[in-house]
Amino acid sequence: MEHWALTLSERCYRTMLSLYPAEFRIRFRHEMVQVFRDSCLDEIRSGRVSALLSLWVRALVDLVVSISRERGQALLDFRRLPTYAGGFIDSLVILTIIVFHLLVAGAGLATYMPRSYETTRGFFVVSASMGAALGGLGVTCSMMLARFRRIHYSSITH
Amino acid sequence: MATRRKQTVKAPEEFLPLTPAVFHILVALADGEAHGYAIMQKVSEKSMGTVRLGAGTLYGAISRLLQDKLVEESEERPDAELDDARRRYYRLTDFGARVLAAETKRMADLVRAARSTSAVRRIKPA
Repeated sequence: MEHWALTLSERCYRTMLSLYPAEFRIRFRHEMVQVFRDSCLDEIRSGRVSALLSLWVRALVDLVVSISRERGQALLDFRRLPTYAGGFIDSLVILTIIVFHLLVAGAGLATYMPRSYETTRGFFVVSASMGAALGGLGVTCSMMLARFRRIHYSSITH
Repeated sequence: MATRRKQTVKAPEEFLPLTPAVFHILVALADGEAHGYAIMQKVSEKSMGTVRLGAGTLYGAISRLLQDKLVEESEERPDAELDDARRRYYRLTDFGARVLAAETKRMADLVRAARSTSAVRRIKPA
């Protein structure tokens, strides 16, 4: 019979893997769970509770770092974006975000532009508005463009 | 209609410098194919316990190595009877071996340059 700590650890780890981008998760989930399970078994056999706790601390740090990296990579990589941005509803959401960004930036500019060089606060507000507008516009345009690119799921679901 | 992306052949030097995780994985695979857990153990052994890869870091690196064709999946099983058939094995490609050799040479050159400095020659490691 399996050790309860192994079953619980595996279940928790498997749940946390859902935070990875879909493409990465589909391709590597099984292997990652297997590797984590093997590591847990080694620590449980050593008979020390602290060893399993230490493994969990390392695994959590690793998950935070690698999930951030893979999410960032997925956002930068056009080929992966259709996984997230697909369908008419998504297009509507993206268009709403673009319009919202433009309105916020416009309101910020209209309010502070005439006085922007008179106060430090005004200067920062205008800079932040412009940054948010351009950044948001860049990301959303990238997502719109990505919708029109083809993706072959067969290569990742084998 | 399948879209074809333009394939460009990269020189091994274009991948340098490798990240520590990627370098250790390539070194671990240099002796032959291995599955994920075996790679982690080899990395830990070869670095004398100083490098311990997590599963996320390992498979993130493997994902990019597969994409760049530095490693490939292997169909062979070292011991089919004892092994879990669902495990995937990875092996170094010829191109991966060339990248590893180029990185090793780059690091050796750096070490040689560092050793030639008076500061390093003056201090003997304990």
